Amino acid sequence: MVREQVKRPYRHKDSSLWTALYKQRYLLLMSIPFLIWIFVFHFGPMYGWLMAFQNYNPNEGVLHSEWVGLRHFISFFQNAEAIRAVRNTIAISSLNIVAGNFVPLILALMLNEVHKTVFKRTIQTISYLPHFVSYVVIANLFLAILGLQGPVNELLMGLGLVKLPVKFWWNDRAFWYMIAGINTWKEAGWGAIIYLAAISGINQELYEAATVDGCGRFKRIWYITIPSILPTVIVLWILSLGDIFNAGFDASYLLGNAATRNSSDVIATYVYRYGINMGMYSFTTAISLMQICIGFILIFLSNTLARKFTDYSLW
Amino acid sequence: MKKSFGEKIFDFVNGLLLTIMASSMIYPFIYVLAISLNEAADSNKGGIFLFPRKFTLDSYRIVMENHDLLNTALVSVSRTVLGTVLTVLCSAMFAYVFTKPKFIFYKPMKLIFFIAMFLGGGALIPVYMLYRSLGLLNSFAVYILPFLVNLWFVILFRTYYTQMPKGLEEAALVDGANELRIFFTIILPLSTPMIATVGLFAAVDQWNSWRDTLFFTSKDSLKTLQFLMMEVMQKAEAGSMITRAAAKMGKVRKVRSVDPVSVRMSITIVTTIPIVLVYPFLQKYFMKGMLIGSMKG
Repeated sequence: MVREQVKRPYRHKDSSLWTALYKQRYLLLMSIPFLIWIFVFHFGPMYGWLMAFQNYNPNEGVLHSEWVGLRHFISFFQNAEAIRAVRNTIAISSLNIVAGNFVPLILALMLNEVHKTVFKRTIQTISYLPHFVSYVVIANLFLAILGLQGPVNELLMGLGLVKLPVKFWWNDRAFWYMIAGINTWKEAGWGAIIYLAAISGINQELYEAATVDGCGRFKRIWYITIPSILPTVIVLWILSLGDIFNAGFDASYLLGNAATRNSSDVIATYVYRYGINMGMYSFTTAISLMQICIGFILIFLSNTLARKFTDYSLW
Repeated sequence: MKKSFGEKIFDFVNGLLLTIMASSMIYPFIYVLAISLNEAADSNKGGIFLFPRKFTLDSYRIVMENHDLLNTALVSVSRTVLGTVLTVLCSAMFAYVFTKPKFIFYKPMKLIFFIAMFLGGGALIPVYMLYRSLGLLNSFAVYILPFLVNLWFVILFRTYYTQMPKGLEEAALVDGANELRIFFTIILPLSTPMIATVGLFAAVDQWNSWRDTLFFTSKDSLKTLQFLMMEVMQKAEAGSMITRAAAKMGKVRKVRSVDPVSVRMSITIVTTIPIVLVYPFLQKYFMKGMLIGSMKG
């Protein structure tokens, strides 16, 4: 070491860092554009969170707008419409979580009992279709088939079950359930993939042993399949709790209307309406900020739960 | 092994239930297809369930010959192609850096990555203000730049790379190739299954996207197909405008053969067809990709 320094006295002190940097210059070259991108597009909006504590004026920017502390957070709790949006968000996402976890599991269990490959594959391929099309298409489909002149109403009237067409899309009480139903319908096939993967990992000898012991199909599902994939199921269900404050913009915006506003307006549509359309920047940012914080806490909690009860966690 | 009577019943009922379920998933598409192919005046009489009764292609003719519609389709196609290529490439490249724990910025980068993953984005207004200050509002770049890297795709690629045999890469390093070169000549060509998976996801995201058009643009020239469909759906007058314009141009033999509903249904079918043509063939890739992604975040 000493001799080295004597030999090359002009070298920088922490030359090791610079040599390492030079050696890794290509990695550096590959990562710097992305880091810049992440800072702009992911950390940039975080700077904008400050608007929640201001009376933000777009012409003056975040630096020069008037600071108002927690005023917007307080006025949120006095705003019946905003609280209604929160209520609808929690209601719709809870229904989404319950149905969206249960139906794919059932579908996977049923698909697993099919032994004709072509049939199984056809069903699976069809079940992915709704996942891949946009919500605009989905909304169009359901506005059509559940419309006043749609096939569902024709069928109901043809069977004499109803006298007048059912106004599915103008029913304030049914809206939560219809949205949750459509979301589940859309994602069921896709959600089943992960359960099927867990099922395919089960040791086949267990089934053979059970068959020898005289277990029928239901018993094999109940005593072998379900207990074997239970850890996966629990993890997925716990982790999905993190979504409880997130109901999605698309369904409410596309399928809600004036008649169902009371149950269709969620945080996302509320923020859009009052934020972008009416320019209440600071107030809606405060709502978004609360949503993000609660979402983060929920993810953190559910991850801790998952780690405690299973050996799986997100991080 | 011979099946018992009970097993047969079980298989039959199970198959039947699955068939009903799958039918319910495809039926809305069939109904909409039938309406789009049927004469509008006739559709209004009701009674159409599976097949068109008075077949006509008029509504598709309108969709195909309408200039606004062609322009929106062009916007949709360009953002899908450009956006997909760039997202796949950038995500793949960024993920490669994450397979190098010896890289001096590895740990800080990982921290930045996770903070961005769990806290970045989300709030609409701050994003809107950011795009405003970057000059992205009302520009085509708003469809591309925010999606250059998809953090979830990065995880998918990274997991895939770590399962790849290390031999080739090490040999290339010994031969004096740099990481950039290795990425393009060795890693990327070996990642075809993952590229297919991520490419499909990215393309579907881009093709289906309409919220960014609603939030961040107001120019007609930036409207996408999905957005136009949304407009036609929400504002009946948009649909009747299209049909009236077509009737004026003499493109339609009888105005009665189309109405806003049938035009809307044809647009729905037109936007769905590209997806139906692509995803079934990539099924084995994306199923594997989903599994890799779900194993470890």
